[in-house]
Amino acid sequence: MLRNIKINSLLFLLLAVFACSDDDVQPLFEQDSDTRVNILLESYRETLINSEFGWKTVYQPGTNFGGNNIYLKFNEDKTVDIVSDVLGGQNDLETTFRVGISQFPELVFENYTTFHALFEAQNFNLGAEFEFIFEEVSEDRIKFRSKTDISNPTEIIFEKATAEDQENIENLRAFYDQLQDDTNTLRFIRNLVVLDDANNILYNRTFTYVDDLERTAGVTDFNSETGEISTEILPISITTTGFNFLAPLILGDLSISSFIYDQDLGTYTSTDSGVTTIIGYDLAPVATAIIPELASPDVNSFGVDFSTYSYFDESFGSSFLNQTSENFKNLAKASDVFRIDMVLDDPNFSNQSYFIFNMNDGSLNFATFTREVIANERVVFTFSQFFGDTDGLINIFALLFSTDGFYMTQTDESRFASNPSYKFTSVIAPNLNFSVYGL
Amino acid sequence: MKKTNNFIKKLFTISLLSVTLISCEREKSITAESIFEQEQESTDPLDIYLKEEFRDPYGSVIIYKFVDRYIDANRTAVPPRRDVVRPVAELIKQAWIEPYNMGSDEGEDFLKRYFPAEIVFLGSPLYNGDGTITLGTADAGVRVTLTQVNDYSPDNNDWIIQSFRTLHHEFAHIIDQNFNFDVESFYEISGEDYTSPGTWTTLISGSENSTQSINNAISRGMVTPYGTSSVAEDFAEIVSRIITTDPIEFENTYITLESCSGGDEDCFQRNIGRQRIQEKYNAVLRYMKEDVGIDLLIVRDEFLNTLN
Repeated sequence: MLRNIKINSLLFLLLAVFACSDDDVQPLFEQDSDTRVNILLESYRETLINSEFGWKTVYQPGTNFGGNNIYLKFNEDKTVDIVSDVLGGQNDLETTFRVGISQFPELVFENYTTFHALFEAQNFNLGAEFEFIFEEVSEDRIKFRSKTDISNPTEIIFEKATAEDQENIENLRAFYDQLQDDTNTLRFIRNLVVLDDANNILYNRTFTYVDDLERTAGVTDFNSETGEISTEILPISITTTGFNFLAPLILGDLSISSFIYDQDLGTYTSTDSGVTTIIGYDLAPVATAIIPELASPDVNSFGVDFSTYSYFDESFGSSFLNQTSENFKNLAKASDVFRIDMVLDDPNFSNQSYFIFNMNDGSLNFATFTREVIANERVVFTFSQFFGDTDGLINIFALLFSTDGFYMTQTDESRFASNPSYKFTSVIAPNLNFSVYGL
Repeated sequence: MKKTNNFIKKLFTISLLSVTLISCEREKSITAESIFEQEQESTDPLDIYLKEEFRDPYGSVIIYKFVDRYIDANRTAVPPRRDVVRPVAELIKQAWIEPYNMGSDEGEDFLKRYFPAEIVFLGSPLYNGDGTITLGTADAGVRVTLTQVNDYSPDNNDWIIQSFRTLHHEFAHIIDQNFNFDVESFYEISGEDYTSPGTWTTLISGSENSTQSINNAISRGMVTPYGTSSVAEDFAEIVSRIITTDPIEFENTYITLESCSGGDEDCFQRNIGRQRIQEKYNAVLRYMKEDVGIDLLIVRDEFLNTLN
């Protein structure tokens, strides 16, 4: 009996001692996971706040769209001051920010500001974002990726700003208008020419840019032998000295990206790839002779079947006709025109013909004209009289009333059998063509 | 010998218990500690205002800072501009809280019990994945989402009416959920006229509020196309329209019978619908007054006063 008790006692003692012994394994971390996460988030928050002059970024929402220059100053009270060159800074509104975590550490701009304006622009098609996931953090550079843009997450990089960056970005706002060129000069052919050492033209293209949220330029090639035009859309980013193509313009074996603005000449010049590339007005003709491929007998019936022809811009959805060139589309946008009606021989207006320019501010401007049809070839509009405000319209006038006129061909762009569509192509600048409905 | 054995047994038991207890002793005593960090109260004047005007009196938090979990994963929206948050909150006081306080038998106590615990402000509509938009939502009677807050301006009565139609609609659901509206009373009036699931949009012609769209709804005895989608929506739409529509306009649109001298079948059908709307109107006013303790016509008058 006593022996059994001794054995059992020994067994119980051993069991008790081992079962309740402390775990000898040392913890991997000194703090629990919540504490460690909070420390990490706080360090990210401090990194954002501690940059004396804030941060700057060139935010490209998607690879097809241009760069937006944004300055950010994160403050201790959770507010962030934003200064951008987006739409003249009109959405650089007061907001708070949050460094938090859902699956990953994230930076969220909590109230509507420039990032949100980009996010919701064009039916969310820019692919912009206002929630960003921290990827790499250092004292002078933070790399994020977009949170909801999962299939093709955009990268955004904050770089430590200098004392001048806020003002520099404010100053950039004016440069977009300058690149769009809204000067009231009678000119509409804007070339991009590449010159060799002897100033011979290696490539002659046209250039167009309109200041909208896409921030893309169009470089158009016109083939004077076939009459074909093709436009390459390139995202741009404005700089303090000019602008960059974010994806280079490739011409043969040349790669052209960076342009410097020359204020005296009003031109942009690049010396990339060892050649001189200049963007400017009237540097070279686009077409120098009638191109038979563009002429059509359709012009002979001009004004016979319809008394009104109308151009609608993209805001009209499917009423915008897609064969309209990027160059013309931007010219109309830059002129603040969203619709142009061409009314012929109006019996209510002494049988006069006139253009009606429907302006974005709701006003209407009128220009009367006479027309001459050159059989099987083209139509020429000759300006007579103007009613309204010519501000901003001078370049589109120069095009419509150019002495060489327009080729005119029927197209298959119309959705309505009873409203056929026609394309007007400038004889002197075939890169400028627009399509209209007969109404 | 037996005594010795008993003694040894006792000694063994005591020793065993002692060893077990001592070896399992924890270094720290267990004390209850909050699992939540004590977040500091915001000193932001906007937050202080919202706390004093909504959280303290009504237990309601206005969420105006973007948190994506308040939006379904298949929807998209942007947060409001900060500068419109306070004016819209003021408007909620004037056009929702004060009318109900005036119209309730219980005064402020009614909303202190039933005002939603969370009101989410969004700057844009809720964009659904299918290309449609949602103007507002109510979740389980505790959260109401107000959309398009960024379109607010003091003189934009269209926005105010549209937004508060949505809010009063959503609050009608909360009332329904708490006071169990007698759905049978509506079924008896319009049982055959509700649209099958997902088809109410076929009644829209142009916009939801176009004359033709409203006429299409009236023909079915409802005040809007959306009201035809179920009894619950029918109830919420009638409550919302009663509160937000000028009484003369309501009378002319929904109650007064048209002259159908031309033998227009649609006209006769609308008049049948109007008689049904009249019945529902009476049922809603009675239910709100007797079961909920709310005089809906006082709520309406107070709401309309805020627009002037």
